[in-house]
Amino acid sequence: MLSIQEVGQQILSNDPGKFYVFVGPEYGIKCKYLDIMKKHYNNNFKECDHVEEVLNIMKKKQIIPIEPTLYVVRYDEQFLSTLSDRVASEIAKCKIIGTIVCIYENPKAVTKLSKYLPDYTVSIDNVNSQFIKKYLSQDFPNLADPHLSMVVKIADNYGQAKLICDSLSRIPETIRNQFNQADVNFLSGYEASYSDNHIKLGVAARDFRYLCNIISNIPSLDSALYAVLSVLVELDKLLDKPNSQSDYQNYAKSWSRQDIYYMFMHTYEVIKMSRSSSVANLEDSVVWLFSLLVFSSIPSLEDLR
Amino acid sequence: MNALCQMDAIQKLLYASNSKRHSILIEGCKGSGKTYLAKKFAQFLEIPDFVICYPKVDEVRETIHTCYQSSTPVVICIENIDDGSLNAAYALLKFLEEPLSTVYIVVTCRDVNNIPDTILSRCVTANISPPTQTDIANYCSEKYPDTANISDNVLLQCASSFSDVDSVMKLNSSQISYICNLSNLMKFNDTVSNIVWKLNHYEDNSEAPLEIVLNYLIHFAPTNHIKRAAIECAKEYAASRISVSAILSRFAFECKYCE
Repeated sequence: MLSIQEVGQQILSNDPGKFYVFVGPEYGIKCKYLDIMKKHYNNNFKECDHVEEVLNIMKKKQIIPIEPTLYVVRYDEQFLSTLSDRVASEIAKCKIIGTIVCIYENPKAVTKLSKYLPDYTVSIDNVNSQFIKKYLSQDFPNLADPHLSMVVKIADNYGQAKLICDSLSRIPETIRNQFNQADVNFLSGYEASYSDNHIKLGVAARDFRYLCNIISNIPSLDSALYAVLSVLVELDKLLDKPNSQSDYQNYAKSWSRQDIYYMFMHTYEVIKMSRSSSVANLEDSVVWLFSLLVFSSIPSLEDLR
Repeated sequence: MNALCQMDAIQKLLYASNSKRHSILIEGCKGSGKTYLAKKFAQFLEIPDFVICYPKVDEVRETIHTCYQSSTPVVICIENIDDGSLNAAYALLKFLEEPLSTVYIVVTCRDVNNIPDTILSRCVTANISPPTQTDIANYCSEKYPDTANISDNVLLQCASSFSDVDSVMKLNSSQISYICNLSNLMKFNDTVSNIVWKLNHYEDNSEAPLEIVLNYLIHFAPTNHIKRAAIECAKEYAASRISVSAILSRFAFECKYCE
């Protein structure tokens, strides 16, 4: 099989081969290569249903020579099922004006393709985040580096990252410059799975909005409640020992001892109530608990009774 | 040894064994002798095979299924059913309703209020009262005739259950000394996390028996506030619904921030 480096080298240096089979999951890179080849062939581009159709065009004698064209055939199962040494030999001997690119995603196709067409088949797998960022910076020179990093963090592959960047690039720059990771996540509909560390950070920062944004993606509300208790114990330690190493050191100054105590007691009561079968909706109780963070002084249990 | 607190329960078990009742529920606080009485029930029935099972669905089903395959009589004791999930309790229902003639099931629990009515209605219930000081003293003198001396041992004076006595008797002198010096800890000027650690661990970082520590704090707390907090803490700990570190942290917060 061809390596992606070889194919990339051929395509990027405007010297594409006559026949390629792109397999693998990274659809975005496939599209990128197709775009480069389209430009190379001056946008002479044709989508066809079957490889046989294109080969027939090439075999036909033309009075007016056909222009070099990029022919793209997607998911031609008929070609795959009839693939044999005879077909491979036919492709090797055929004079192709331009380039034919066949696209498949089914991993089962790879075995047959690498057997009969090893010199034309390349597996385009997911590239690492470094390469994704490099390609994105070329595709979207107007997007700032931090935003590219945010997109790379949440995208599964280059294709997805490109779509998100495309959306981001349409937002006016003055608004876009204020975007943080949560905004990029929201824009792309990204549902992160949040860990207890996110809860602890949200509570320490007394960021009710952030906690509300992530609450529906918290895997276990019970575990989240214990995380709240844990961060409050940590904040207590920071008030006694301000120089101790902690991820929450910067947030300790916004907490008084009274706030820590009352927030701990409220959280403990929610955990106790959650053990009772009469609790209707734990998520509502947790949202109520987080809402207490908004108060400049967290109310006591007696204040709320 | 039949403690006074167990007398009523023993009578009930005797009656149940005479009438060949197959489904028994024994209620009692932690360390009051529930499993001991379950074994007593097996003795009344003259059945030597006694199997203990924990309140997990798979374990309950597997144990009962195994015993059902055997033709020899057996007493199965499912300990502290209210510690497990409701599903573990419901796994029992069928067997309680249609028991085999050779299988006797004794379920123990700490609080009948946590047991589904469907289980209660199928069992003979025997209740053990909390052990009295006389019960504790008699237990000490009978089980540890040479070594246990309540009047000399502060921790034995604090014991509220038979298992507390057993735990105290396993402690060495440095461990006893550590627990008795907890009054220094009660100044609560340390961080909550350190207080929790010291309550639950000796100086060599091995775990301290929390029931004994809490008993000591309840009896020898310097203020009523700390005593109340320790009682609440012991109650929560016995209920086993919330993690130990959370319960102890709450206790530490109460004492540190409200004194």
